[in-house]
Amino acid sequence: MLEDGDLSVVSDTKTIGLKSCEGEIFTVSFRVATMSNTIKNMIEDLNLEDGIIEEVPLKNISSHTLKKIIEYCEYHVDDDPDDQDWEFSTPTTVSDWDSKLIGTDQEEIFALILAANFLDIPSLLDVGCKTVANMIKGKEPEEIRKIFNIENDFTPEEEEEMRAEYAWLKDD
Amino acid sequence: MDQIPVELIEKILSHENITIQDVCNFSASCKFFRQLVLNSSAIWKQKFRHKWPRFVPLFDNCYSNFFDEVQYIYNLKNRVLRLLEQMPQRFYKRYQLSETDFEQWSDLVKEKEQTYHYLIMILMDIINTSECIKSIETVPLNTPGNKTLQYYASKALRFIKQQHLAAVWQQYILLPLKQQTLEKGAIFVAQWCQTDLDITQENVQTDLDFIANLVKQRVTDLNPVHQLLKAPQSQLDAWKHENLDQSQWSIAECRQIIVAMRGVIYTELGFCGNSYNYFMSENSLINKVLERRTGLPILLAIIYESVGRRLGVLFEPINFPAHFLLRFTESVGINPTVYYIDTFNGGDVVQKLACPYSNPTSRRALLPVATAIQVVERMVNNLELSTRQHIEPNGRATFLRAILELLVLVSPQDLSAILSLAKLYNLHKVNTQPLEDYVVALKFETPGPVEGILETLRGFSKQDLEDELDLHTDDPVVERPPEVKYAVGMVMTDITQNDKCVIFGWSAGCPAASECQESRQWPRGAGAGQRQVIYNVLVEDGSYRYAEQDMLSPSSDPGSLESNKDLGRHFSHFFENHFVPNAEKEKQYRYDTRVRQKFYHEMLLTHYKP
Repeated sequence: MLEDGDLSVVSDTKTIGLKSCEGEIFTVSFRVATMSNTIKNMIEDLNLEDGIIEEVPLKNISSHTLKKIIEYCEYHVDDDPDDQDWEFSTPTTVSDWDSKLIGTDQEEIFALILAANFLDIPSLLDVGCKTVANMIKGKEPEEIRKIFNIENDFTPEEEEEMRAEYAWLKDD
Repeated sequence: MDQIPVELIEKILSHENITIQDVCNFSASCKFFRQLVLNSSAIWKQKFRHKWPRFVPLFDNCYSNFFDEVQYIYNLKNRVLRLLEQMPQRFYKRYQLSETDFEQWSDLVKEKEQTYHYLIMILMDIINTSECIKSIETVPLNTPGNKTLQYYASKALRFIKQQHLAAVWQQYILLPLKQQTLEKGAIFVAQWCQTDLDITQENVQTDLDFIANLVKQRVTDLNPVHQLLKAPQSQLDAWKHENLDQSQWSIAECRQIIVAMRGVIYTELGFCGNSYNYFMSENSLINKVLERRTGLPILLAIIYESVGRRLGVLFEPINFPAHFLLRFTESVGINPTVYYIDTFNGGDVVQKLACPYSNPTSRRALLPVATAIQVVERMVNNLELSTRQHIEPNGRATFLRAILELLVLVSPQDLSAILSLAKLYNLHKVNTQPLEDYVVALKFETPGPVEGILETLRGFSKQDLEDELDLHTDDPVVERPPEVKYAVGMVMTDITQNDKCVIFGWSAGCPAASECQESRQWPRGAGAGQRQVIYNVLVEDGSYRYAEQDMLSPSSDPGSLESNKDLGRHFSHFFENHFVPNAEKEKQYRYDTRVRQKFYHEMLLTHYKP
């Protein structure tokens, strides 16, 4: 018998279908889905708290990315910041579990960041940005171009100029 | 990456892990990102916050372009290094620098409102670096860890901070009496005397708050319904910053607080008067007294008063001729009862009649309450007394100068202080013109004695001009006669004193030129006729000395020489067993290099273990 007000248990029994751009539907519990503020607001705004939602179309998220996001949300849904034994990502580090999930494929990481941004899942967005930040850290411009496939559109003169402009940075 | 919206790129680059260098490298990857980075105030604001969190409040009420600000600080670092690079050559022959030698620094400070704070950070970073130089050769001045660089950085730091503090003092004395708290005065003195430390009003006040809170807890144990416990935080905060007109509680409740204060301050925290090392300067510096929990009566009284004030009890400072006590008054009807608290002796409460320090003839008249300015004057006088004791030789002349300058600032009517400072300036070839101008601008009630001092100052000014020439000519290169065994930079044991010293100059036959006149003691047996080799040495306790060759024996253990505050004037760093001279010293004693290095290699051979 459920007690009144025990929403976490209630929302576990309700489900929501998330539809990827390929048309694949993933069914997840309310509790996991509402880690996304976008979905949470939608449910609240449309007064859908009671029913089962068949499908929410997410036209700009691929099945592959969506799977990862759901995996992330299911893993972190019970995060308790006071739990000392649990390994969390800190403001400057990414936990092993998170970094394994995010992977190293750039396209995938960016897709994940964009989706996390759209779905408004702050902790995932943060972990994604941190991962990219760590890819940039300590790299020379040429290395950055290589990693992110950026075309160098500066002339050699412009590059020289820029170096002179950033001369104030040296000795740091 | 081009599909990522601008705000996400900003978020990525704003991340703590990304340094300013990283942002610039990223922006140099292509034109689009370059424009993005240059136009993003969000990124630069974050970078500024991460790198210099303590400067963020400087921009609380004003808009700023943080990219410009970041660039400004980096450029300022380079400009500071340029200024420091000019100093060793210009000032090699002087021990003390004049206010006029720092004109470029004062101009720099005036540039922007925030520049002062940036300069302090840059100079402190130079001084406090943990970098260690490993080279047998003289290194460029801007090498991190170079003692000569640090020596001049600390001179610039002292000048900039004291110039700033002089203005702080002028503001303090204009404050309404209610806001002239004793603790602010004590913090000012501590900041003036320890320019190489970062002493903030907040840090000291936090320590005092901590003590007050302990007392409050104890009051709770003594009397759970004490009115103090009902006082709102806003009230407690007000007492922290303003002097009280009267104690806020009933007689019984005030007494409970005094009992609790005594228990916490003296028994629990162990504060006590320092009669063993009464004249050590640290007994007069509030940060040190709070740290070591011991000090002079006046400092203990200030701490006691500050704690009492935070809890709504009024203690008034009374300047007794030979002691400093706090007065506590209990008013019943028209006849108040007066008690004195002897903060030096465990917080003993003495009634007026029994008080050993009051003059029996004026028993009926109450001594006037000392003003905060008078208390500061007395603190500075104590410090002057402490420097006169010659018990802290490390950087003594510099400290004495700072104290006399402080004395002239806080008690401008003190003619003997002005004269002492003038003499010290003259001894160390410091330009006396600014002091002369300062004295002329002061208004004295009786101009007679001032005229005499001005006369002396004018005489010194003339002398300054003559000295100026000599100070800017290079000393000739010192040739080595065969009887000289040791070399500049070598660490020695002085056999007569059994302490470590380092040679920074020598002369064969005639007295070596030296600016350490104050401690001039020409060694016995070094009279006429004898061709003696005499070394100028810096000693590990911070003093200077002359030493005969026979009394010295080479050593490879520098003892505590590295903490000597004047080391950087002569040497750039310590290497293995000796000090490597700076460029100026090297020029003058260039023939000493081979001898010093020969001793070094011999040491290596002696200690060689295959």
